[in-house]
Amino acid sequence: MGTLSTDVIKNTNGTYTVVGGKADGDKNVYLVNDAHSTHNANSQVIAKSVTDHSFLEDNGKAAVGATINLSDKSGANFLNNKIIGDKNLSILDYVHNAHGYQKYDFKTNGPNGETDGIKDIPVGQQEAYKYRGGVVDGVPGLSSNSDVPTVASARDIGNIGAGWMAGDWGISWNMFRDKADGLQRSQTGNPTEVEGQTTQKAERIGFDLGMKAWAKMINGGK
Amino acid sequence: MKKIVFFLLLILLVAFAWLGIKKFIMSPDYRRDSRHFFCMGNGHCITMWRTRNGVCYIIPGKYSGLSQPTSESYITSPFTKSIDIIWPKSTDSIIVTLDDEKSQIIHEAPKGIKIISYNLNKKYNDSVFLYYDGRYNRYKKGVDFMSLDIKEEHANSNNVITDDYK
Repeated sequence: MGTLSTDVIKNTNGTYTVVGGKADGDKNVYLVNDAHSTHNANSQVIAKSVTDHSFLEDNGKAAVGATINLSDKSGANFLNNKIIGDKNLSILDYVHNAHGYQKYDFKTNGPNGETDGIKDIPVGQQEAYKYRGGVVDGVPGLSSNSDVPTVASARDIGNIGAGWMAGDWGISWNMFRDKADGLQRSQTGNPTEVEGQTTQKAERIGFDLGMKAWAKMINGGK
Repeated sequence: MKKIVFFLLLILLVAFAWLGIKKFIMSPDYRRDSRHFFCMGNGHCITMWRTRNGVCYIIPGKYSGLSQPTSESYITSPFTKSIDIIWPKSTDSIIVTLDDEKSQIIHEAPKGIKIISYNLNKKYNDSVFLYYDGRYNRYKKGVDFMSLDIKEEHANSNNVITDDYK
């Protein structure tokens, strides 16, 4: 295990671009020499991803072309300020504003959090935009204990938020899955479809954090 | 005695079958038909019609027919895909970008509105319609385009988009 994960190359502006990857339980993000290289035992680890699917598309292929910016904290700010930190946010408010291209659909937000910031990006680059990566250290429960930053894709951020809301409102994981997969079936028109692993893994992380907050709340904040 | 057991089992079987059918019919997951008339500020409209058979038709104009279009050029696509459409005001040609080979352009009207693949002349189209902001390509201001997300039943643009299907 751990022989393949997310491979990136460094850009001239200091960001990184995803050039390969594989879901194998390894969350390391490795720096490789060029777009045709894969990492080896000597490759530098520049970050850890929040799940081992963070930069994988639902078809199991790496989100090639996505940019990881270790200075980008917009995802962490979104979770800390608009989801976890917003004590007035009800589950109903969330659900009504969490569909595609709405306020809580972080992957389609603009760089300053504006709704539908993806609107003038051509379809061929939209996946790369939705998988843009940023740092989530500073979000309680997401920081890694390693020497490198923890990164998440924009898609992860929205899914962590969805999971958090379910857990924080005491909704069971099974009920959440039932609703989330039901929506997926309705949207895709496939009666047997469920959400992909990339989505589910991020949702689960958020759910577990939210459930801890919920348990703490019903125990009187202890 | 055997007859009674048989009839009880039969009743249970029918009850379970009915519950299963009812759950399937009542389920929101059941494939449904939906239609949108997405219109740009320049007056051009596109129909997005998600049919029960799992095919989405993207048709220039407002198409209200109940069967597959036969006299228009149109696009077919699975529900999970996205499509970009560039349709300048005073032209009868539409330039489309399909994000997957499962989406297809169907030409049924040689004299009507033409649908042309963006990728047939990609380099030229990129130079005319896009600019690079340092990280991503974006449509230039003033380009009459519409991005259709079939899964989300959503259209967006630099321009005003309305859904005229009520």
